[in-house]
Amino acid sequence: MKHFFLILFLFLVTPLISFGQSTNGFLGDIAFIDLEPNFPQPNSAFIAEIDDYSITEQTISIAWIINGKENNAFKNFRSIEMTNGDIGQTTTIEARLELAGGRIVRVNQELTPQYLDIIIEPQTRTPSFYLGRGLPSIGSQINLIAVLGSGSFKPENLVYTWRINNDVLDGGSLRGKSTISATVPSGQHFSLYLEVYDLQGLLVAEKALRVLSVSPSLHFYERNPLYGVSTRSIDSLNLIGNSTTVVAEPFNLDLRTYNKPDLLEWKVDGRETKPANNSPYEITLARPAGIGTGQSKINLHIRNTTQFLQGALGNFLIKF
Amino acid sequence: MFFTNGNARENLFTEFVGGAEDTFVAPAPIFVDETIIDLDRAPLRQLTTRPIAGFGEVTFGTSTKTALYYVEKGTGHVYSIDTTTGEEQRLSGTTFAQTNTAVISDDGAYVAISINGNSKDKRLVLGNLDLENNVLEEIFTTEAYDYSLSENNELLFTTPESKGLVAYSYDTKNQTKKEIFILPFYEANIQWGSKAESKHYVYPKTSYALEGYLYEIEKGKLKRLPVGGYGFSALVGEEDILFSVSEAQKSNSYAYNFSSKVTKPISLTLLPEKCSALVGVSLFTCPYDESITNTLNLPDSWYTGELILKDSIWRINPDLPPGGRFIDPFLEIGRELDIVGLSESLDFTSIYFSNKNDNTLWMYEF
Repeated sequence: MKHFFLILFLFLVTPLISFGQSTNGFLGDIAFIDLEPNFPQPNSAFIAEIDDYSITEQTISIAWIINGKENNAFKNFRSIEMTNGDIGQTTTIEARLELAGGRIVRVNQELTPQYLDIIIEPQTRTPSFYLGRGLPSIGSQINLIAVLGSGSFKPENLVYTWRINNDVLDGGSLRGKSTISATVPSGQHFSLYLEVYDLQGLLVAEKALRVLSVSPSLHFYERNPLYGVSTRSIDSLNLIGNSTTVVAEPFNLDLRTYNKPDLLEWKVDGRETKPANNSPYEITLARPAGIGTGQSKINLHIRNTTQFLQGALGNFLIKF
Repeated sequence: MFFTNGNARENLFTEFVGGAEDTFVAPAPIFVDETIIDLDRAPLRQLTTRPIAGFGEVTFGTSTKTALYYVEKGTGHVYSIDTTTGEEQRLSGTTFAQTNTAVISDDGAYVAISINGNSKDKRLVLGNLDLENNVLEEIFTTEAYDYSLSENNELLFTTPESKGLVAYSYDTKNQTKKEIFILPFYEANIQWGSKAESKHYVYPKTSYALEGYLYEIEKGKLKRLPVGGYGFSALVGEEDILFSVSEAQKSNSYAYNFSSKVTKPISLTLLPEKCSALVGVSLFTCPYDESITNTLNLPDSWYTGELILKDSIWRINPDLPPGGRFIDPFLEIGRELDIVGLSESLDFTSIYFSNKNDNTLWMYEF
């Protein structure tokens, strides 16, 4: 109501012409305040720039009014750099343009900063002791979770458009779809885009990420029967005692391949061997009888034969 | 040529299988362990030769007397150790096979033990320490991703459900379970508050190639804090958030101040998950490896165990340039330690930590 009276006042009582953002002008003019980035995050720097190219008269002065107060430091600048407010705190930016001939054009922009976070949860293998997050690998599945405004927006009242590279996921915009699954495309990187609209179709927030896609890699760890798996990755191992068990961990391998690999092949000094351990990812190695000191190279090859990039090769040396 | 095990594994090793039915109560006479070390009280000393799953300094009632308890990795046996003489006493001989991590309550009455499987779901056992009978009496068990014991002896833990990662508190007195909060994602690193109703902090698990963000949780509500980025990990102190992010192919550390809302760079590349925040002051204690040059894949390369750090210990005041190391294990005893689980003693006269390389328990006495 307050805004209605203000607009009525501006149109009827004063000779000024007022334009809101994205509103057609009185004389067919259009002026905007463009923001870079489009949706600046809370407490982050952004640039506000006047776009008045469709106005035919020369602009002779520009005044910037921030939250109702004119900022003289910005006087006559076409673009200004500002820092956004806290999450949910609205900032109003108004630019008053004085045109040659005395006509005044007002343009305004309102910002209520929100965080739009995308949390990527790759469904790839990492061992239970691993403190970090696995990474996407080509052909693996990723789960994407959007968190808008600390979760204060109800996802069911929002419409989500997810894109990977140029492909829209699940065929189009989806109401309430704050989580989604996708398959990692080919290439070392992929682009992830998310646009969130309200139910009136207004863009509330958007985010773009460039995501690294890695090749699965094998690491080997010694398993102690009492203390469990060591967290120290081994390239070579000195055998103490008569035997040891080594666990292979194919980091970032798609879990479907990890659970059911088409190919899982252990080799000891080039010869294929079939360990009888409970887990196919474990091998127990015993000191050979009648041989003094020496060393052996242990290789492992895991592969999904239909999605060839889902696989890994690795080896370690054991000295006895 | 090596021989693989064939079917000989059963003959080689004892098979340990987790599960309540496998837990046995061992007759546990109190004994003095044979591995007493470092009697000459060097400031930096190794307290155990056994690998530990967790440790904690405990206080008894209103007494100012404290004791140091630890849980042995692999067995779940609980010990008390005299930090002056190195003398150990076994408090519980109850075996929890494949014990991986453990937390001890502030009063020493409860011990929570995480039993490692091969997946992210871990069996969590909460036990009541019965000192008379030297047993850990199991009172609650669940599947959990993450856990802690609060200062009023509630078990705080997260468990994956279809609606998200749900955090619960389990009241040991009333034996009731209450939901604390729900996270929309599962791969969460949680810094638990001192009580169920305290503020908790959470961020998605770290990778140098994925973005992470910090959230504060109070009364079940998620609030986004203004820090985040690729390779994000953090430790929240009373006045500052110490955090690291991957930028321009290296890992950088910063401190964000809650009052001033200013973020200041810290000239060292720290792993906040290794640090400890001091109570009541704007100060962090951090292990730091001065020799590390390539920080591109941090912290992933440290998590996988490819990168072994040779830490010294630093005090970090976000308002001042780093003042230098004050404990250097290599200079003091010629050992390289990858320091984790760092905590200050309750009387601020010493620091306890474990060595990631062999999970042994150490202390430094000021």
